[in-house]
Parts: sequence; structure tokens; C-alpha cells
Amino acid sequence: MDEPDFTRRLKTALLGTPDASLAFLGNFEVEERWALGEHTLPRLSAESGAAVVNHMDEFALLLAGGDDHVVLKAAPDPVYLAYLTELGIDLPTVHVVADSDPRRTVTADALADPVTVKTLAGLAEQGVRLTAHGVSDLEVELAERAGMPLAAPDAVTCKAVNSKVYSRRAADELGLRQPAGWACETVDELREAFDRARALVAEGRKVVVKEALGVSGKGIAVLESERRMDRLLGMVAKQVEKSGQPRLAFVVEEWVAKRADLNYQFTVARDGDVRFDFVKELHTEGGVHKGHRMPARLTAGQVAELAETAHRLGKKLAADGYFGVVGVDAMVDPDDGLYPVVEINARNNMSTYQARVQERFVGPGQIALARHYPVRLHRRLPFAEVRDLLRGLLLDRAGGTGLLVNNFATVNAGHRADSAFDGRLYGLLVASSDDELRGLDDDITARLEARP
Amino acid sequence: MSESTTVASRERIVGAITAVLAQVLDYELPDLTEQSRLFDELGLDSTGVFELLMQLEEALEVEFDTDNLEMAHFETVRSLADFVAAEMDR
Repeated sequence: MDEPDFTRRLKTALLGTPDASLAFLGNFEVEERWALGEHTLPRLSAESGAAVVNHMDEFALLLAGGDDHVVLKAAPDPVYLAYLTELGIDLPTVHVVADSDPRRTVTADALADPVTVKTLAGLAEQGVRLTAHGVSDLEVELAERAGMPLAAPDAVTCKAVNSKVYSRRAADELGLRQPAGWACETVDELREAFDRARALVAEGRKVVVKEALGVSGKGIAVLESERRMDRLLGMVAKQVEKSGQPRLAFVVEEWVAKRADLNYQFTVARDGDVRFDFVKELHTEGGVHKGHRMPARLTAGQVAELAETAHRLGKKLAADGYFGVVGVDAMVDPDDGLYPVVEINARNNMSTYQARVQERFVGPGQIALARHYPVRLHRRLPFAEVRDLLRGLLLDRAGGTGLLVNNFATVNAGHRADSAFDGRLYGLLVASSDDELRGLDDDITARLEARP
Repeated sequence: MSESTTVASRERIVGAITAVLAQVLDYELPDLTEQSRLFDELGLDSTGVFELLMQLEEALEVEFDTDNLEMAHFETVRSLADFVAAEMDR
């Protein structure tokens, strides 16, 4: 091999050597933990789909290598593991927690399971280091309890650089183009921002308010009218008064016109070195987000601008104490100009888990779409049935075409006795042209819908 | 309140929910029943919840107490109609 794969490059960045051994935690939606105790927009007390989100931990199987370890909430379907092995993927050692609770992240499950903590302690003695989707106080606690050092900065640093307030200020400091907007840390600042927003709304422009630590696409409200702004300000002010905690974190910004959404990733090494990893394009059909397309349809100049931005943001993050994977959301405006930073996510992103298999299975000149297929189930669906159902449509070798299933735990995560549930089949759809990709996508959708 | 008034106000609430859902979700909705599931079936997300509440407040000229919102209130058209009816009686 001429170039080490993504996971080996990641190890070099985190630990200085490509041969280090890591234990992976796929604690998706770590933002929820970072946001604990923060003021939020009016929201529901329990989110739908928590079980599915928590079982996204299985994505880590394809990021870890053969000399690594993965802690999971549930044992993977053995036929799914066999399928991955047949593809030639060297799988990590899996450690399954006892008494997994669907409402908990894998980290919280591990903390509640003395056997897993003990296993990690044993691995720590062999030099294995802990890595997570994102680092909150829970991952720090697990690292301490197991005596396994985290290959990451502390939780306070991780939370701080993941705030949308940090993103806005970093872009301001570096002179990067971003939509008009204001970072707010008190009710008065929020009121002032709303007053400025009123002028934009009066001109017919769209303005949104976002929770600084909200999960991407959640914790956002559109400030459509004077009444809407008054109502929202009233609700937040009431929350602040009741809590006695005056500090809040929201950003108010103009919702600008765009041609495409982008997601790019770079890795900041412990020594401050920055490497631009890739850029993907969000794929929408009829206005509905369907997944990530790679490669993104961008000019060489646009990619160069993003790579340059990545290096500048990486240097700033390193100076502020961060190292590890960073995903950035960006946009292309209708005139092909870039908004190179809309939001910084200094943690693993969905794309991170595709990186290793993408390098290996998406050949030169091929395109891929990372997406999920919703499935409504009345009983557990074994991988063997999915394999039969999608016969001829699953990817079976590098350079081939078809679907590479990259998470199967999310299919059955919501399973409860005697009631229907919703699952997601995640995969990377690989093809040689957009037409071929669309055809495969339609065939898979149709076969899943026609499921007996 | 007589039974016919109750039925009429229930119809008004369900009618408002249906109209507001169509606006918030912004696609051609299937025929809704009280059993239609807002998140799983219709694709409502937590961002849409605030929008939905604000538009319902405007359509029905009411102010909800948003402190105690629960997932269960948004499960189906029926559970949301129950929540709205209770708020309007408050």
C-alpha cells in the first residue's frame, strides 16, 4: 500500500504512530450531553428515535481496524459480520456491554457495566487508548474509571469548540465569509439580536435562531414574524429567570440562499499539524435531504478554498487546545461563491465512519451516496433476510457497484415486543454514474417496500 | 358545554392541526386520520415542533404553556388534538 488508510492516519494524528491500538465508542449525539444544563428553545422532553441514534454506535465497526477494539450496545448480527468479512474488511474485537438500555449512549451503558470497565482496564494495560465520537464528561469518567487514557482533549475544551458561538467568532476572527448574524450569551444580547433581525425580516429576509449546542438540524427556529420573536424571547427569558442561570448560548443568523450544502473534514494532530481529509455534498431530491454524495460537485478552485479554510481553522483549533477529527458544514451560494464555515463540529461526523471503506471500495471515477432507508417493522429483521431481499444489489467487491451496508444495528434498535417500530438501514451506495446510482437506489427502495 | 359544541371544537382543532401540518411539512400530505403518526409517518422533526406550535397558536388564537411539552403529545394527530384541547380549556 502506498498510503496508510484513514484510520492509520487518524492514529498518527492522535497518538503519533499508525500502529497504536484504540478502543472506539460511538456515542452519537454527544451534543445532547454537552447541552445539559444549557437553555434551549422550546422542545420535547424526550426525543423520538433515541434508541436508533444510540445504536448508531455500530458505525465504529468500520472505522476501527483489525488491531482495535469497539465497545457496542448490542452484539452485531453474525451474518452481517460474515458479510463484512467476505468483503475483506478486517474487523476489530467487539466488546458488548451488559444490560444495554436503549435510552443510553454506549458510554453510559459501559459505565453501568463493571465487566466492560474491567475489560477496558485490562486493555489499557496493554497500551490501548480510548477514542470517542465526541468527548463529554461521560467519556472522561469512563477513561478515568478504566484507567485508559483518552486520545482526545478534555471535555471542557471539546464542548467549547463545538458551540456555534465559537464557530461564528472563529469565522469573524479569521475573516471568513458567513451569513449576517450574532452570537448571544445573555437575554439582553438575544433581545438586541432579535431587534436587528426585525430589520432583516421587514425586508422579507429569513432569520433563524439556533441553540449553540444543538444537534445539527435540530434546535432551530425560524423568526418569521414580530409575534414569533416576542413569543420566543418571552419563553427563553422565562426559562432563564426560573433557572437563575443567566448565561445562555444562541446564535441568530440570516438564512441565506444556497445551491448546495457541503460537509468537509480535516484532522488536527496533537502536534498541531492539519490535514484536509475530504469534502462531500448533501444530496437532496425534491427538497428532501437524502444523504451525502461523494465526490462533491465542486471546481478545483472551490476545493482549494475549503482546504485552505480547513488549515486556518485547524491552526486556530489547535491553538485553543483541540486535536482530533473536525467536520465543518459549508454552503455554495446560487452564484457558486462559498460560505466556507457555517458550523464547526469538532468530533467525528457521519462521514468519518465512511472514510475507511470509502477509500477502499469507491474506485477512481466512481461515485457514492451515503444514505439510509427507513424500514417499518413488526418483528426483528435478520441480516440474512435483507441479503436475500437485496440479492444482486449489495456491493460484493472493491470496484463493483451496489450497496455496502455500514450499520445494521439501527434496523432493529427500536424493537419492542408486540408493537411496530421504525428502523434505518444505513449504507454506502456505489456506482459508476449518477444514472446507475439512481437506478440502484430506486431498486433497493422498491424491494424494501415490497418486503413481505 | 353541550356535546355538539365539543364535537364542533374538536373538529376545529383537528382541522387546524391538519392545515398547519401541511404548511410546516411543506409537501403533499396523505389523507390524515387521528391515528396518523407525526414523527414516524409524516416526517415531523423537533425543529418543526416549535413551528407547528406557533402556527397552531395563531390559527386557534391561544397561547400554550410550553414548559411541559412531552413527546407523547406529538405522537399522533389525536394526542396533539388532546393536548391542544386541554390547553384551550386551561
